[in-house]
Amino acid sequence: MDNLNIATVYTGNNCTGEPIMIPVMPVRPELARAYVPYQLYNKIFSAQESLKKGTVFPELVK
Amino acid sequence: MWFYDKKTQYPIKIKKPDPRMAIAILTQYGGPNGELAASLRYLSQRFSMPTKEAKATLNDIGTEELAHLEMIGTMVHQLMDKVPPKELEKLHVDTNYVIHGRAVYPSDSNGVPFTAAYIESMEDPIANLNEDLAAEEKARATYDYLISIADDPDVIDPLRFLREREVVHYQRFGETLRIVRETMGKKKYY
Repeated sequence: MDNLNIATVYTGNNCTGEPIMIPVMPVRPELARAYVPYQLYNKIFSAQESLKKGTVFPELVK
Repeated sequence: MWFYDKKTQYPIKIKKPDPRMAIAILTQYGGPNGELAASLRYLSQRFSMPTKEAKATLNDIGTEELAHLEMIGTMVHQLMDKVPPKELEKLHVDTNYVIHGRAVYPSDSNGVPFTAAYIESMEDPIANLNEDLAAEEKARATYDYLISIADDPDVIDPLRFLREREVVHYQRFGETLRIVRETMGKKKYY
């Protein structure tokens, strides 16, 4: 399952600081809770394309 | 503390004035789901966030919303600039004109002035972050409405950019909500 993918969250600016390893979605989600999956970092747009689109992340273009 | 860059986050060069569109976009300046409300909401909620990630996220996004406020103000100004009063009357935006002239005033499109009653700031970070997720969707929906009535690419392109920023912020608040929950709870949620 994609849910078991592990995302790395950096606690500082620009991918610095202590990294936290965290599942993309909770393995045991609870009722009455809202969850958004953690983003996995893949390819990014060029600076020019990012300005046009409003994000550097292709997976967030919605 | 802040540093100021003397440029807008996304370039805005509107060649054709459109006072009706200016008034429509004005709601994103001082309306209920506008950029001023967003900025003040996040910059105020920031103080009661329990983790440094959450503080930083609210601070960064609250700051970016100020840049969006500047973009919206620039658009309203360029769409209204130098349009003759008689023309404004013909386009039925004269009521706005007789109160403010062609100035940019923080109100919604109906002229209702900005109020802090649009936002909440609570000690409970979970309540705050759920409000923030909703706020981003409401702003995203507003940009969808604005894009649906706009026909000038000089207007549509910056609106599309701002709409996409709402989507990205939603993702960041969602991640922040999980960091906060997982930090607050004694047991791990996964």
